[in-house]
Amino acid sequence: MATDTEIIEAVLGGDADRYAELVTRYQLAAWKLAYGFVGNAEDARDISQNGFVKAFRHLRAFRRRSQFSTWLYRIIVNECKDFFKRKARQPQLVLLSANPGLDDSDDPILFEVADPAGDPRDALANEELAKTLGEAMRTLPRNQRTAFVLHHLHGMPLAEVSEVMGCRIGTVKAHLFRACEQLRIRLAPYVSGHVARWQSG
Amino acid sequence: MKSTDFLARLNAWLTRHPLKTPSESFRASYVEEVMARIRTTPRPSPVLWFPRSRLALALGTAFAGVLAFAVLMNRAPSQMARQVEQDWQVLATVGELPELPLGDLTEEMQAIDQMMLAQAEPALDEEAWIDETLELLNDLDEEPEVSSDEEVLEEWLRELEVLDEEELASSYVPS
Repeated sequence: MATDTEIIEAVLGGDADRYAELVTRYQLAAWKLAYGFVGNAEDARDISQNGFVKAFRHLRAFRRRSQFSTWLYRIIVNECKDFFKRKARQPQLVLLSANPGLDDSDDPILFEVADPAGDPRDALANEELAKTLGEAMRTLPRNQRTAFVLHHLHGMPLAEVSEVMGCRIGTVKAHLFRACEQLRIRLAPYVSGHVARWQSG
Repeated sequence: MKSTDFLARLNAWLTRHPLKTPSESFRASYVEEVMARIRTTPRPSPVLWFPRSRLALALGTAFAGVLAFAVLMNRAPSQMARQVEQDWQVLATVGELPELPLGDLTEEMQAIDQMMLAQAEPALDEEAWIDETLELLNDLDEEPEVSSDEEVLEEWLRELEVLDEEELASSYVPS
């Protein structure tokens, strides 16, 4: 299997069709990254695809100091920020909602909760927790949410998160600390009610 | 519940319940859609000329630097420098010679930083304000303090690093 560098060399050499290999390789990760931010499958698709197109257009500017994936994720994170800015500028009706921060088009549950082998009561508790966690994530300030999605949902090491976010590792840690504190407070009622189940899980 | 316990349980839960995955059909058309857009996008220029041009650019920059240095070393003081010197002499003759402010400059810069922090527009909520402050601290190359309780903070950060190294990094699959 060709490495990212080999594919990039080929694309820059004029064989643009080989870019499909990079898209195939990173499509799921790119989509999931955007999905963790925007919480909507279709928006995540548009954003991640825009990210790939933008990366192609600026491929010559890719300095190869980092991995292609890190560079791509940085582009997608910026695309997500632009998406929120555009969304904030759009006039919209403000409705009193039981789910603060949740748009009509947003998916109510972002996580896989189905577990065929598990206890149905666990499935219910997991669904409830997934819903609460998704809502809590939507209320986090942008940078905290970015750090949380990249590190905890995407499994990215802190050094790579700092590279994607363009800030120091200490700042990433601070964002993560604040994010986890917020989530802990938001999930406290749930956790105290289901603590035994969560611990046993 | 302690932060570390919460984080460990949250990570364990997230490992078992990751983000949703799009359906097969959703994925099948994904690459085609991107490539259709790529085909209508101007292609990045071939890379063949790039290493050579980079070398030429580096050599050119080095030559320009040497040239500029040589010129500066042999050059008479510029118009502005002469003007400053004349003003300085005038002030010296009337006994109004100001002290060079270099000593105070650092303190002033620090004071300005603090003023920037203090005078920043108050954000709508505390979290947003903290977020903005962290960004500002990052811009000022300052390591943020995230808790007043050093022991708790250290313990938490250690936990975070251990989780990062052992659990999360090992489960990192980009595709």
